[in-house]
Amino acid sequence: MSVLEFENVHKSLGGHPILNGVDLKLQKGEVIAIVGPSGSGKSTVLRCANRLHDPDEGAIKFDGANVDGLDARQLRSQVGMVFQDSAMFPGTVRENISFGLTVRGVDDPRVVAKAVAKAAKVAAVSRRHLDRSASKLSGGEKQRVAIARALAIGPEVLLLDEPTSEIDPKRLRHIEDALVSMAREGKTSFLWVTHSADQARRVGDRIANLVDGRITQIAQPDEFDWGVAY
Amino acid sequence: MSGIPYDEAEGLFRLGLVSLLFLLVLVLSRRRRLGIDRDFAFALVKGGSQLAVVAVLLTLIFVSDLWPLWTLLLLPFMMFIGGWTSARRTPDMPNPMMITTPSIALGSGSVLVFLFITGAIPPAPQFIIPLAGMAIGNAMIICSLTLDRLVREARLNRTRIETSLALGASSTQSIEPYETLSIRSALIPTLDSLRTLGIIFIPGAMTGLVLAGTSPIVAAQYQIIVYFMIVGGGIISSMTVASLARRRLFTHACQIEAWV
Ligand SMILES: Nc1ncnc2c1ncn2[C@@H]1O[C@H](COP(=O)(O)OP(=O)(O)OP(=O)(O)O)[C@@H](O)[C@H]1O
Ligand SMILES: [Mg+2]
Repeated sequence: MSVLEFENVHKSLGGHPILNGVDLKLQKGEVIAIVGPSGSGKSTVLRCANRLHDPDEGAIKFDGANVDGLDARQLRSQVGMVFQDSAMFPGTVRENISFGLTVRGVDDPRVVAKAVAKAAKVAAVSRRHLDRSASKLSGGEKQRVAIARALAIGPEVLLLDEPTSEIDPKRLRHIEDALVSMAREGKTSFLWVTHSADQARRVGDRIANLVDGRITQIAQPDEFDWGVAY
Repeated sequence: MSGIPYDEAEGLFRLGLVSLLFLLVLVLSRRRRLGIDRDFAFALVKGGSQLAVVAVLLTLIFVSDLWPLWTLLLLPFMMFIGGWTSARRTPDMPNPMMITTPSIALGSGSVLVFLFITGAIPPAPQFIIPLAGMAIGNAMIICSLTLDRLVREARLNRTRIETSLALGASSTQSIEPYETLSIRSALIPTLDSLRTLGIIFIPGAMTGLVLAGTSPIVAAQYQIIVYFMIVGGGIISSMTVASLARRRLFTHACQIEAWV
């Protein structure tokens, strides 16, 4: 069964049509890599999935239920998101990673510490960095904290918006492998927007091409036609 | 002695004399091409005629037996004008008057009622109307400052706010740091003038009372009461407008509204 489903989703922003009928089904434990030109609506697709936007037309379903009937905060604890810009909150790396737990009132220090440690490990955030000020980190370090922050909630679906564009190759491979193995365990599914064809091939079970607010091609990596992509 | 020692006719004559000085300043600023002479002259005419109308109106109210009625009509009108003026600071927000007017009314109204009940304001229009003017005017300024800053912070920190929403924060949780910031910054001018009270800044009410012949000690006591009123009313209207604005910035589904 598909965990997240877009049916003919239309969305206009600022009077301009941005999504023009997006159809997409994300299976449980699947990674769909989304590629497409700048401005084609990739971020907008992700923002609809966790209800930062509501579609003008069409439907988005999470576990079979239309998301417009779900409580947004409830939905967002199951559908996590890593933004294209990794904006840090004031405070330490640890406080940033545990943010999603704090705002839900989870304050048992052992529960928090465990979730932070687990998320930090996947996102290659070193334990030595946990007490540093998050706003002073480098670009790649911030991206890793942003990934850890979204993982700490333990979402079923993770929306990733170019989450690794500034991360060094060694840590990049670690993070890709760790996320893909979470998908293999079948508990977490990913919509992963990337500008790198190589990354799309490495992580995607399927690759979707979004052009002008429509999915123009969706296929497994060895069948995906890069010749007509973008 | 009590008050300024001349009558209306002599007052007009002196006003004429002082206007000569103003004309001189106007000519000077024209020569320097400051480009403010027009605005300045216009503002003077507007301000002057408003004051003239108010002077006549106040005189009528002061001598009327129905002054409580006139006062009760005048105060909401002043609050309404305050709400309207403050609302013009956030033209993008839909119906901003619906949040500025209640904030100003609640802030200034609650302190005025308190001062009235405690007897700090004697039950006479000569006291109630000017003090209400001060309370409402200050609530208006603080309301504008709060709202302007809050909307600007929300725009500036849009990504950070949406990130916190995406991580499961409520609208309230995600805007709270910026609310605090806006309320604090809106109160800075008031707090600074309170801090330097009497040293740099001989405030309006005290100036007025001393000019009117009140003893400086009573005038100082009154000034402190006025400051309690201004600070108290300001804080209340600032907090009110910030929390009412929250409902304008976010949808029920914890999304940032499109106009932000
Ligand atoms: N709030 C908004 N108001 C108006 N237009 C918007 C808004 N948000 C996005 N857009 C427009 O929608 C279009 C798609 O934006 P989106 O961020 O989804 O693109 P993208 O595919 O993620 O691009 P990139 O690869 O550069 O990140 C862009 O042209 C953008 O200008
Ligand atoms: Mg994008």
